[in-house]
Amino acid sequence: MAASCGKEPPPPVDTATIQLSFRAIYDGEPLVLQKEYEYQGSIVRFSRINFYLANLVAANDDGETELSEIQFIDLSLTHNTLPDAEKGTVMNFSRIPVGTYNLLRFGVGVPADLNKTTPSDYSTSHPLGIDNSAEYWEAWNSYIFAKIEGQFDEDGSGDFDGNDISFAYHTGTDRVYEQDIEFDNVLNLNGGETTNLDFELDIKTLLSFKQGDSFDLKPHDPNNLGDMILIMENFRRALQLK
Amino acid sequence: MSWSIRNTTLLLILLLFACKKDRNPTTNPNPPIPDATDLSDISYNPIAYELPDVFPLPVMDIPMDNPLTEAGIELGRFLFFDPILSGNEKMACADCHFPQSGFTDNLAVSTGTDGIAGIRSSMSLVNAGYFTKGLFWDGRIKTLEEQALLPVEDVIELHNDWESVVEKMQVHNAYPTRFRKAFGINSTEEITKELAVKAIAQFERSLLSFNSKYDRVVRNEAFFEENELIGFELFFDEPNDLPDAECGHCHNAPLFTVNQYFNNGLDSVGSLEEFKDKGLGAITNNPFDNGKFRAPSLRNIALTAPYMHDGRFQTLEEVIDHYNEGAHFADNIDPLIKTKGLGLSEQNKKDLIAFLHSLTDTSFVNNPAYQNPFE
Repeated sequence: MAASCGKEPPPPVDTATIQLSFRAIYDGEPLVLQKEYEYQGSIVRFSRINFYLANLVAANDDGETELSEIQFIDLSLTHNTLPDAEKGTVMNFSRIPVGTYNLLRFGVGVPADLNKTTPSDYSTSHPLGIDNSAEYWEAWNSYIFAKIEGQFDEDGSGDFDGNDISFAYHTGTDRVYEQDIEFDNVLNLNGGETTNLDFELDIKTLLSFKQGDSFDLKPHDPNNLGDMILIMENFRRALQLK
Repeated sequence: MSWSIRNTTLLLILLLFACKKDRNPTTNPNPPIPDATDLSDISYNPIAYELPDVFPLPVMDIPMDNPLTEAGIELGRFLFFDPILSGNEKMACADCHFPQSGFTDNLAVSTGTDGIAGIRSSMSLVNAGYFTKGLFWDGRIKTLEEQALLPVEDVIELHNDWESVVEKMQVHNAYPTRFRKAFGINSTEEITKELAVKAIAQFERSLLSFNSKYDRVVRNEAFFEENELIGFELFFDEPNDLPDAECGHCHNAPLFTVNQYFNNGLDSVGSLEEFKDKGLGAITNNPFDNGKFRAPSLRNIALTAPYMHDGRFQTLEEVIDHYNEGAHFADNIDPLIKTKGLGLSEQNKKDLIAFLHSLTDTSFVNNPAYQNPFE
């Protein structure tokens, strides 16, 4: 009878919900799109930040629980104002068995088995489907794992014009998939409750060399593999669990 | 010319016009059927309509409350081509969306039923069932069902009211039966605008283009000519010595739109407030969305001139010249739109256009299922 009413039955009492929040930050503050920030002594602003999260797993001594195979996290939709940026992009994963988990693990990008597919292989609203067809790049035969776009005041004039740099870092191909980023904080899930995990993505770190210096922002170049590798490796440093 | 000859000529002209096929099929000479209210004796056996499963089109998300049926699509087709929706019964949806024009009207801006011009160009309905991130050039509507509600009551478009349309459909000699067969209603009183737009949306979801030369090439059923192949490589920034035309970012396969909104540098403005038509910004009230418009699908683009939201470019050559010569900078110009140009040669441009022509699907525009059922 309950099923015939079309409502989803309530989750079992021995399950819980994990809520993940992702916030972009810059110089320690929530990043707001189109707001001007300091970069290499000049100013920068961002217009688009998104990335894929894959093979999201919570683990404990009993084994692993897969939360999601693939998620598309579009911070561009949630960072247009400061209040929204403070909240970030929030995702819920329900019906997770209660208990103590000592590890959360995921990759950034699209793993090779999924990266063999194309948006045509999915229903419209699937994270890899054509609702996100902007995240597939035909020339690479690959999804675009992450995008960081914006403008940089190259001439230091204090404002932006056609002589400045519009940058668009798009990363992709199997070679740059960043797998197994692990967070080993203890996570206690109690029945019927929601436990929140807050992640911050430091965009300045994402655009820096390992020793910390920011790299020179450049116009879009789909074949700039060096910067692609750098940015994808930087996710490991730039993502922090608060 | 004698009086009698003049009058005979006049009579012949009048007869000629009288014999001309009536393009206004809803001016129904038949009176309402007496017992039109009760429809329960009419059979209702809906047959699910299966969209073709053909690469490269993906599986379409169909709303749970509006599954596709053969009768629903057929009703939608009749409504789409029927001027009954307009206040003066002179204009149908199809008047701005001709099948042979890739479901556009080939005008810079569309003119409504009272002859008043709007401010934007008619959008193509090719593969409209996949347009999930807002409809219209400014994305102000989420679903095809919601979209179909608006033109009827827009004073510039069909200039009617739904109450009047529903009344006409309820006493029509054919629509009650069609609504019964599509939705299982038991009475003409159950004919509503909500059901009408559901039917129109079903018809629109059936408008699938998947048989262009491009499609046949990606299915390994055909090969590009050399210039088409080079155009393809330019379009998708293939890693070679050719310049990057950067088209695929906003017009990616398989739909040749990414269902997003961009400022593609059409207008020179001193500030974001200066856009004459604010596009998406007028909907979101975010100034950084001002001057952004939906990237349209390029499928059948050779049939849908003129181009851009305001039809400012007459030819594909003009469109490519816009991007190649350098777009106007604005604070929200898309970073993949180059203000300093693309560096395409004249031959590159020809190759790109050859590829764009490979997106024409004549089997789509000539599909009998998409044509005017009143003809």
